Amino acid sequence: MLLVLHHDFWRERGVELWFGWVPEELAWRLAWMLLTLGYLIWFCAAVWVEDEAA
Amino acid sequence: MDPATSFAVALAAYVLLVLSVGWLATRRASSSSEEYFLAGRGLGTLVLFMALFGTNCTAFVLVGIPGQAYHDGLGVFSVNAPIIALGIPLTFWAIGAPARRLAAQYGAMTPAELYSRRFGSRAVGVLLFAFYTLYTLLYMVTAIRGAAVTLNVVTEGGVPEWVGGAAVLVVAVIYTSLGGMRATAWTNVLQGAIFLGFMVAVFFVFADGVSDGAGVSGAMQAVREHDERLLGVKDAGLYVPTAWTSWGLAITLTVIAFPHMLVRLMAADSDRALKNVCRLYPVAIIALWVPAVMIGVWGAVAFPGLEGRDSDQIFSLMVAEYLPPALSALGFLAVLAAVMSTLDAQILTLGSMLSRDVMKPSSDERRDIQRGRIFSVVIAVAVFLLWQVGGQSIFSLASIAFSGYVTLTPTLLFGMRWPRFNARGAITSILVANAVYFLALARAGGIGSAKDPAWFGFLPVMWGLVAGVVGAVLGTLWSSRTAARA
Repeated sequence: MLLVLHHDFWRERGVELWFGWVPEELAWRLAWMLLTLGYLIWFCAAVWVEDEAA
Repeated sequence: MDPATSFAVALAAYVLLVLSVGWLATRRASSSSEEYFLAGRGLGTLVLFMALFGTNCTAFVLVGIPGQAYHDGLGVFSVNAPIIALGIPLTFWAIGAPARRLAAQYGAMTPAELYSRRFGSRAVGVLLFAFYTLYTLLYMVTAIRGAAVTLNVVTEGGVPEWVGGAAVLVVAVIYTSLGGMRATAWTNVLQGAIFLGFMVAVFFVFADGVSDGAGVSGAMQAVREHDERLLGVKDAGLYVPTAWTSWGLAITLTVIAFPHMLVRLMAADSDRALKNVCRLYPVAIIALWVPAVMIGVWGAVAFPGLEGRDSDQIFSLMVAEYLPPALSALGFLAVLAAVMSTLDAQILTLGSMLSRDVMKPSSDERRDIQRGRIFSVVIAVAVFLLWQVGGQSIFSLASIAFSGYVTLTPTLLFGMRWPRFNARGAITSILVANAVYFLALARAGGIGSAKDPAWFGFLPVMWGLVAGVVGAVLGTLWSSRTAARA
């Protein structure tokens, strides 16, 4: 899902300023990166198996 | 204090600080090869994160990205920052974590040594060393040039470029050869704090400057009035779907293939430290990349009319325009810190590979460390000569390095995650991937065309990567069948 949202050529990429100061493009990418952060936190906890034996 | 004096004081303080750190690490570094080359495999979360992030981020992010954003706007952020925030941590998991564990098991201290032992083949180690060296030397030359040019500009020609480049190399070699990996990791904490702190601070200072005190909101409004296309994404070049995908793959996969990054992952003290680094990476990417891109976008408002590569000066121009003279030296220190935090790791890693992968490791550990120190000097001299002799042609050659590293990732990944993958598969993969990559470069327009499409709109890196995967699979299956028949 993250990769589909990153390849967002289906989206109309506007140049509006949200709240008067955040460019729409930057807001979209930052929101995506926050999703990524959440995904990585989940990934590290649930998927990444620690192996301290080595 | 006048600007020249404040610049000299700041520079002297910085050099003294990094040399002191190198000296402090000397005693521990001299105790064993593992301590010198890998900091005793004991880097915890904070030092590991700063060492990796500092090594990953070069002057390119501080100088090159604002220069590109000056012309292309926010699209520069869109095509780069999000995908590396996701991709780099995933490669740390896919390749870095098993590499750390296996390196400890084999007692390997360099990436080439690790893969050589994994496959039981010295040829794989030597081949990896050869391509690592080719791409890393070119990469180092651009870093040195970046620091030398900035020093020359800041001192208004007072320090000739060759003197600046030589001085940066000498300082980096001294603290690296004194304290080995621990010295470079500790100095990276300092260097990362300098350039990350600087970028976050100037984001607000520059916004105020561009908007006459109206802050970020005013600066964004000013961009909209100047050229609103800078707030969006272009629909040409890297921003069309095929190039966007190829470039995303290149910048995501290249980082784990830097030998100086992989060796740092091998120096982590635990998987837990690696996990913490992965959680921190997206936050640090945002903190560094948002200011870097906005410096370029706001710079287009403040200094319109820069053509082509002249826009690479936008970082220096903004620093000179909006920072008080006494603080403008910090701009140069930020660039210097970013350059040196990568350069030290490269010097140490290539030196250690020469010492352990080309020469046979000595049974006397002190001799191994001495050899590593001597080779660090040899690498620095080679980089300096390459820069001086190669001239401008080297810089167009250097653009092939980032994509070139990607040709090694199938071997790095399968070597850690595919038990059947063997030496023949690795050798086939590396050779075929590089052959196809250079063919694709030629098709795209020659050396220096790494960002131009080769076939069907995809960049040369994509073709090199696909060839590497195919070569790895066919080479492995072919040798398995041969073995089965025998």
